[in-house]
Amino acid sequence: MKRRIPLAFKKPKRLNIFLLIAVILCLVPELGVGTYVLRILILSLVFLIATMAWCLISGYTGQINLAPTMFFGLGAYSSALVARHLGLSPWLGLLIGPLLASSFALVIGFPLFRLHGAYFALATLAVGEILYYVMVNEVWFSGGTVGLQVPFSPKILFIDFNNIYFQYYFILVLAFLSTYILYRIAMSRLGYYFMAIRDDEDTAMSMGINVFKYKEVAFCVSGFFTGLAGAFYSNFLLYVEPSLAFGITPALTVVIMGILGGADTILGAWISAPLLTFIMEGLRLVFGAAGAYDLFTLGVLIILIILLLPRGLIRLVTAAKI
Amino acid sequence: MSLLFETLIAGIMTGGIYGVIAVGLAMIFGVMRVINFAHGDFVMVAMYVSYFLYLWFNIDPLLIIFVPIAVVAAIAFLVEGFILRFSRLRGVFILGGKELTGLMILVGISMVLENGAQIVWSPNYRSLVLPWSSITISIWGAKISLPYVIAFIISILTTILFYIFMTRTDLGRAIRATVINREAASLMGVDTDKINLITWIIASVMAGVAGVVMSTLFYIYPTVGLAFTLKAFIITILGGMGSSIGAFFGALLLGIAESVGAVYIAVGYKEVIGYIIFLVVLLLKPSGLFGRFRV
Repeated sequence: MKRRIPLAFKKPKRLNIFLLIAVILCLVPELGVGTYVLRILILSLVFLIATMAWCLISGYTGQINLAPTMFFGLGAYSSALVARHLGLSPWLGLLIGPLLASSFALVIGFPLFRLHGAYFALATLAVGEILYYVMVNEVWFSGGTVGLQVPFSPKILFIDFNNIYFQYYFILVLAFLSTYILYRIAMSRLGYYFMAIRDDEDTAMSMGINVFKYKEVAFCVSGFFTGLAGAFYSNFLLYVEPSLAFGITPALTVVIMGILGGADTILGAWISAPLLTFIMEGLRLVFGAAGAYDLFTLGVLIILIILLLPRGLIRLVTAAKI
Repeated sequence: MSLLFETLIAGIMTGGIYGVIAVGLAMIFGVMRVINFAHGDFVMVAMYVSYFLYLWFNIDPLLIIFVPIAVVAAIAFLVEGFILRFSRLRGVFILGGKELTGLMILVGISMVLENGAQIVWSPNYRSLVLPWSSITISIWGAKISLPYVIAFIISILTTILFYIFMTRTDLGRAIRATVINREAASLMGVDTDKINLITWIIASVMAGVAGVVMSTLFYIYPTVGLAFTLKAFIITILGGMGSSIGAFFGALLLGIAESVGAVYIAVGYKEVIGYIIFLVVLLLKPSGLFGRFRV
């Protein structure tokens, strides 16, 4: 494999557009947008990372994980727990969270990958719910339904962890890095194994692909990046509670973002995650958070997208021959 | 001893009600290989309709049980007759295949129903208090509240009716034939599209019955359905996917496990017990505990 330029960027026009988006994203804080817009951008980048990671296991490998929050929540809680029980900086959660989530993926993968199709999907949901109830009930450990505060981190040298501009550039760099790594994985030999497993498991096995092993690899990588997103999320909100970290709503949000963008692509999430985050925040702003208009719209969108554009918004870009 | 007895009775009663929900879910899965993620939301809609019937017209919902049922059946008709049929006609696939396409569409429908209910009826908890709500009766020394007994009896009657329908009528036989082999059934002259629609209507009627009887037992709020959907999943796995009568026994088992667990382990882990049983059965015996029944 001597291909230097990834396939999607072989067309110079497409590469230019991507670079343009990258430059704009870097300059956003300089454009004088308010903190509010910046916060939404940060949120959409968090969900972007989680969605891309979900696409790797569900879109590429074909194993529908209905509760990506099991990794997201582990990442989010590890930041808070490191601070509470060990008295260390919660930013260490960014190291511990992904590792914890991906080891959890490794362990839980052993029983889960004995199941296929819809059975697997439902079992992931059950695992997510079990983690949710553990966090609700073990109050001494996790603070119960009230949740945990994530303490402010002290300044290290000139880095102020609580400055929103620092947080924005930090998550932006993380998002670019994750996109690059996940994209390279998806385009590598490994990615082709994943797709072979998705398209026909029996054929993949007869071609000599160790199906179980590569499912585990995809699950662990997915767990790593989802955990990373989760760990940043709780550092950003300075707060974590069970339904925010392990609830059904964030889980389905990630799943729907994945399908909306195009589950069998990595870059699709770059369209759907910001789009959905802005739509949902906008609806919350107009109708108030209690109205549930945001999730209602999400439900309508997912039905429409499956019926009308089942392979995701990214296909509009491909169809436009950009 | 009397505590254990009371716990068991309570478990069987709750299990019987769960059974009506789960039988419908199992039936839809058997016929169409689609997991109805919105099944609990059908129950939720029926609960709200019976609540408002009592609030506005002061009529006992059990007397006009057909009104909430008709509302739920109409929703099921729209879902299957338009949305799911459209997706089948277009032949759309996302990710792995047909099963998952249907599942994701129904996830969307569940979100629409749940949050639609929240928009229309607000997220407040409501409870339906009928004149006979607080009466308790005692069975061999165990005190059980009357609404539970009535709910259990109606649920059992519904399940028996369903069983008779499935085993004794031509339509029931056609549905079972479709469960066993769709192509063969269609070659024998069964209109499988019609069977799909009838399956959805029957399953939603049962969800409606469950909703009406449960409106007197549980708090009514927009997201109540999700818990029922998840319980029904667990039950269908216990009973064997696609086996409706297996699902009924699975429901009794889950009801007993939950109430025993709540008393003897910890109330907070009541739900977790169900999930753990679910995972264990899924791993050790994916065909379900009652694999022989194929109804």
